[in-house]
Amino acid sequence: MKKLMILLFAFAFTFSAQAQVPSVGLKPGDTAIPFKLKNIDGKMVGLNDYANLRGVILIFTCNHCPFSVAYQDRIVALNKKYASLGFPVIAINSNDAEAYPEDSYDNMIIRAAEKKFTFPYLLDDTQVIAKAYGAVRTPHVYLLQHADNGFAVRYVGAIDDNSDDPAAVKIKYVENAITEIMKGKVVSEPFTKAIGCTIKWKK
Amino acid sequence: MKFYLRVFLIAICFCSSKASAQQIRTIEVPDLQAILHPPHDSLYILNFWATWCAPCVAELPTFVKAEKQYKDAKFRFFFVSLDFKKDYTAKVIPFIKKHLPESTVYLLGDSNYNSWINLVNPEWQGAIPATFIVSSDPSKCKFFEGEISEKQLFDSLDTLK
Repeated sequence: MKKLMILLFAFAFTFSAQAQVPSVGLKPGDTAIPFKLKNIDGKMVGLNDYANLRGVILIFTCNHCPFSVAYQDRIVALNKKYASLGFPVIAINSNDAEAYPEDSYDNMIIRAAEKKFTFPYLLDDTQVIAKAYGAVRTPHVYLLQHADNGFAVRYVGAIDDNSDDPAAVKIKYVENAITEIMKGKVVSEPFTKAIGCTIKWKK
Repeated sequence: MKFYLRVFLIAICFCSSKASAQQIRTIEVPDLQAILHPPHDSLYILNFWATWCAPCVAELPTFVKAEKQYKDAKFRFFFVSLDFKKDYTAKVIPFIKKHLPESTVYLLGDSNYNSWINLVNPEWQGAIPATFIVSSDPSKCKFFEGEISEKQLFDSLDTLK
């Protein structure tokens, strides 16, 4: 925990050269920060549990946000398509459930059952992980690739270019990035932005 | 006759007061670019919001109040809705008619967000509410990602008056 706080401070004082990339949090190329959070089944799930896999599609999301809702089925589909290829989904909810009761742990369990989540849906109760990663919206994706010292961040941003209508999607950012990684290529679009709900910080 | 004259005068008053008439317009990215570059000596306040965004809806009255209070200053307020197009008729337009009866409201339905967020401000990560004060003078430009308090907004506007 102490280590994480030091890291947090270090990130707070790191300013990126590119204006588009946030000045706080993880950027493509950075090393992913390990976490261990409570899953909807009551068990703890950590990034280290995935050490043998090629990567992880880490998604900060929640129950109540209409964008998260719009992407629910697409997140389920991502896990279905990529878990067997070594890139499973881990979803994290960091929202303040006091302000947004729909995002409570109990409601996470209900939503995961309703939508048949086949991946962990973790509760970031202290919001430390969202802050460490620099997640600001829901959904906010961090695509991680296995590296010597843990996981490297390869893509940060949106799932695709159309939240409104899955049928009208032209660019599948996350899928394109995974395809490039699997071919041994550098991710050509490592950072995108999207409109979304803010992560609801505790006051 | 006197009655008609009075109605006529009231009508004139309404027409000449720039902020009193509601305007709702669907816009595209080029229209957005136009309001990012206000004419010399005026300030535009752009509030990006949506009916589905609870903190956005909560802070709208603050902006309505500011718009009234600073009516005579060289400020123009634009409320840019990022609602989903499918919600316009049933939800968004009725909401605007009720809650923003005297404001200029633009509906930006372009959901290819990555193509235009940086045009507004490279610092903006895309979370809403987001408020931008734009001016041809870069020293007067301000950006608030997330909620803005009444004090923050009014203090900012006071320093720019």
